[in-house]
Amino acid sequence: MFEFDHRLRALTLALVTAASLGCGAHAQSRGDLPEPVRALLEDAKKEGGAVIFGQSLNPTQIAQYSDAISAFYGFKIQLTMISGMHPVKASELVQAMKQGVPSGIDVFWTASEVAETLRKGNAFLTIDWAKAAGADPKLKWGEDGLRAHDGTLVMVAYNTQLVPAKDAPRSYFDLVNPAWKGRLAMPRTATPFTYISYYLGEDKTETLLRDLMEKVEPKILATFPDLRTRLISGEFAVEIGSEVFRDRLRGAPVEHAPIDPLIITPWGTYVMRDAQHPNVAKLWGYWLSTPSGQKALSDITGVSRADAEGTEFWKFAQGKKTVIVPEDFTRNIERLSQKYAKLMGITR
Amino acid sequence: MSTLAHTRGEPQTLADGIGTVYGLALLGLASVAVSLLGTVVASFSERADINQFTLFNYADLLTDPNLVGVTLRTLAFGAGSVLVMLVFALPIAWLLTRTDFAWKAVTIAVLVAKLAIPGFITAMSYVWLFNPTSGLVNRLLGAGAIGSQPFFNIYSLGWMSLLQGVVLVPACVFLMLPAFRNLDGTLEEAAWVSGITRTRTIRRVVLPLLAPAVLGAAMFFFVVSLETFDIIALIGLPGGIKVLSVWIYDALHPAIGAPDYGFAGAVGMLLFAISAVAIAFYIRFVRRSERYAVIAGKGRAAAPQALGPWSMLALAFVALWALMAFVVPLVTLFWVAVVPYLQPPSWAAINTIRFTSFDFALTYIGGPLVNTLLVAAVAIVLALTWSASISWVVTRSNNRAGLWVDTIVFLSPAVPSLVAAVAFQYFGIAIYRWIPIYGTVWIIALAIGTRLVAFCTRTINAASWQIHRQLDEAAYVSGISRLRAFRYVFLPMVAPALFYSAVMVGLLSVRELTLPLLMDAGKAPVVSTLVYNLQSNGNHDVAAAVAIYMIVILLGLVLVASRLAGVGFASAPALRVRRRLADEPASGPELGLIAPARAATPLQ
Repeated sequence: MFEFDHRLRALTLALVTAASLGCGAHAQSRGDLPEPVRALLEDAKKEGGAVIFGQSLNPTQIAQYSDAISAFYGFKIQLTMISGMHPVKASELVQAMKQGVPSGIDVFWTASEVAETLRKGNAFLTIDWAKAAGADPKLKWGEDGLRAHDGTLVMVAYNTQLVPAKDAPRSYFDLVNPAWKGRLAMPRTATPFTYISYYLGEDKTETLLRDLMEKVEPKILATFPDLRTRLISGEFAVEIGSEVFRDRLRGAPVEHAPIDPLIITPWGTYVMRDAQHPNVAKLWGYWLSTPSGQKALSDITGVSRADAEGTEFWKFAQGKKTVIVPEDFTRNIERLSQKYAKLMGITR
Repeated sequence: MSTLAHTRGEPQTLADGIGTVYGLALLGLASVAVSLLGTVVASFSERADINQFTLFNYADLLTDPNLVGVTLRTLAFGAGSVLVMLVFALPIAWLLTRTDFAWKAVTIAVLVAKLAIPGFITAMSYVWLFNPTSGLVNRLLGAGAIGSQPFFNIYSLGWMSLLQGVVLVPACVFLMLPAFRNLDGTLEEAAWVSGITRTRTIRRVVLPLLAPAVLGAAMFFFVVSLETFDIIALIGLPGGIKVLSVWIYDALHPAIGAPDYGFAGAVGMLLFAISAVAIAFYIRFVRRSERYAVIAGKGRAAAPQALGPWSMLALAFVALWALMAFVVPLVTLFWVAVVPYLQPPSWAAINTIRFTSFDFALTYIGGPLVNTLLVAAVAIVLALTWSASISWVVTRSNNRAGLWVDTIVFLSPAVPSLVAAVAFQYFGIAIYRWIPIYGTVWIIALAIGTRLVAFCTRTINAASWQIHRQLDEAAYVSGISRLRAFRYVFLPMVAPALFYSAVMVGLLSVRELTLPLLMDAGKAPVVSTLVYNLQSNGNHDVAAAVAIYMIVILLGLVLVASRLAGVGFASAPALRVRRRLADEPASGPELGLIAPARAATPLQ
C-alpha cells in the first residue's frame, strides 16, 4: 500500500478523495468547514504551502500528503516536509529564534518531550485551536498544540516466523521470558519505560526493566528503523518500542503483540511563532485532526490517533483499554528517565 | 627585490603576491576552526545553553569510573582499524603504482565504487551473515534457532575493527597513491644493482622514503576511526561495546530535554587530546622532511616491477579485500533492492524478487542528485583551494606558523560529525545578519568541504614532502615570484594529489549523511538524506536502488573527470602523448597513474 508510482498516485488521490467524501469531509464546500477555518482560506491560498518538520517521509508520501490536503480544501497546497533529529533541531531553533534568525519552519510536528524544549524557548505561537482553526477542543494538546497522531513508543511486535500467535506476549511482564534471551530488541532510549511507568507505576516498571535486563539480556539498537528491520529479518523474535503497521502491509512476517492496555503517547502539531505561512499551518493542524486527515495519515504512514475510526491503529485498539499519557507528564520525568536509562546501561 | 631573498632562511615578504595563498589558507583555517571552536565552547556549556559557562562537564567526564576502560577500548578500536587498513592498503597502493599488476583499472573502479556504498549497508550485510541468532553463516553451520549456541558472533570489538579497517582502505589508498607514484624508481634500481635483494630494498629504502605518507595516513585514519559511527551504531551498540563516540551519541540523544552538548564537547576534547598525541608523533617524524624528497630538478623514471609468478597471489590478495569490502555489501545492496522487505536470502524470498524499486528510485533521484552534485562541486572547490594553500604554507613556506596550522587542520577529523553539524548551524545563526547561508545548501557545502580539508592536506602534504626545495629555489633564483611558483611549480607537481583529493572529496561529499541530515531546511534535499528517509520508512528496496544508481553515476563521473583532468586515470593514448612531450622514458603498460608533464613545463 505504501509504494505508489505515478500511475497509482492519481488512483490514490481518487481514493483519498472518495474516502473524504465518504467521511463527509471532502472538498469541503465552504459551508462545511467551521467558520474559523473558512476565514483562513483566502490568506492560505496566497501562502500556497508550508514547511513542516516532523516525520521522515519519502517523496511519494510527501506528494500524497500535499494531494490529500489540497483535495480536502479544494485548492493547491504544496507541503515541504522535512525531518531529522528532533531534540537537536528543537535546541537549534530555540537558539536561532533568540537571535532573530528565522526558523524556516511553519509547523513542528513532534512528541511531547521535544515540544517541551521548544515551549520553554518560547518558540510556539500560542493558539486556541478551537477558536483559531475550528478544531475539536478535546484534541487540545498542551498550551499550544493540537493532538495529531498517537505515538507508538511502547508497542510490542514479534516475528511471526519465530513466535506463534499463541505465545505472543499479552502483557509487558510476559516479555520476561527466558526463551527470548538475546532475542529481544529495544531502542536506545528509556522513553518507552518512562511512559509505561505512567500506567504501571515507577516501582513496577523498575522491576520489569530490571528483570528484562537480567533475565532476557535484550539487545539495544541505535534507531527505531533498525529495530524494525532486525525484527523482520529474524535476528530478533520480539521488540519493544516501535509499530510495524507499514511492514505488515508489505507482507513482512511481523505482528503487534496484543498487549492490554494500549499506552499511547500523542504527538502534537505546533505552529512556530515565526511561521511564514501561519494560515496553511493552521489548516494543516485542522485537517490532520479530521477523519479525512486521519485516514490519509493512516494510509500514507500507518499511524493515526487510536480513536480515528477505520484506521489501522483504531482496528488494533479495539477491545483494549487505552491509556493516554498526558502532555504535561514529560515535564517532570527527567529523574525517571535517568533511572531507567541507568538500568538499561545506556547512560553513565 | 632580489630573488635571492626567497631562498631558505631569508626574510620573506608578501609583496610578491603570495599573500593570496596565505589569505586562502587563513580562510580555510578559519572554517576548520568553526568546528574546533564549537567543540571547545560546547565543552564549557551547560547542556544546550552555550551562554552558560561551566566546568561541570570536565568534572563529570574525568570522574567517571568507566573512563579508562572506555578510552582504552576506543584506542584499541582505532589501532585495530588502522592495522587492518594498512595490511590491505599498503600492498594495494604498491601494486597500483610500482608493479605491472594487470588488474589496475578494475581495482581502481572497485576502490571508487566502494566509497559510494553507504556505510550501514556494509555493516548490515555482515550482521546478516554473522549475527549469533539468525546469521546465515551460523545457520549454515547448524546454529541460529532459539536456544542454540552461535559459531560466530559479530558483536565484538575484533569484528568492529576488522570491518572498519576494511572500509577505510579506499580512502587510505587514494591518500597514499601520489606519494607512492612519486617515488623515484632509480633509488630502488641503484639498490638492486648494488646487490641488495628486493625484499631488503623495500624494507631499507622504499618504506623509509614512504614513511611520511604511510604514517600520515595511519595517524589520520586513526583520528577518523575514533569518531566514525556507522560500524559502532550497528554492531557496537547492540553488542554493548562502549567507546567514546557512544558516549557522545548518548549525550546528543537524550530521552528527555535538550541534547547535552556540554558533555559531548568534553568528550570531543578528550578525542582532541588523543589525536594531539598522534599528531605530535607524526610531526616529529616528518620534521626533517627533506630526507624524504625524491623529486628534484631532473626527471625520474618509474619502471613498473614485474610481478611474474607473484601476480596470481597479488590478484588473490586484492580479490580478498574486494570480496570483503565490496562484493559482500554490493550483493547485499542488490538483494535488498529486489525483495519487498528486508530479509536474509532464502528460497521463499527468491520467489518474491521484483525490480520495481529501480523504477521508483528513478522518479525520486532527479532533484536530490542535482543538489548532491552541486554540494559536491562546491565542497571540492573549497576543500582543494584551502588545502592546496594550507599545504603550501605547511610544506613550502618556511613559516614557523605552518606547524600550528598543520596541527589545527589535523585535529579537525576528531570533531564528531554531530558536533560539527551543530557547530556550523550555530555559526550560520551567528553570521546570519551579514551572510544569510543558514538553512541553505551553501552552509552544507561549506561544512562538508571544511570537514574534508584535513584529508586533502594529508594527501597533498605527502606529495609535497617528496618534492625537493631545489625546484622552488630554482624558480625563485630565476626571478619568479612565489605566487607564480605556487601556480606553475607547486600546483603542477602536486596535481595527482589534487586530483585524488578531488575524487575523495566528491565521493565522500555524496556519501555524507550527518551534516545534510542535521542542516537541511527542506529546500535542497540530497541523495544521502533521500536514502535515509527511504530507509526510515521501510523502503529499503528503493533506498538500495538509489544507492546502486549512485555507484554507477559516481564511477562514470570519476572516469570522465580523469580524462578531462589528464591525471590520475589517463587513457593509454593520452599517456603516450604526454610521454613524447615530456621526453620521459616509457614505463610500460600501466593504468596511467602518470606524472603530468611538469618536468617539461616551462617556468614563466
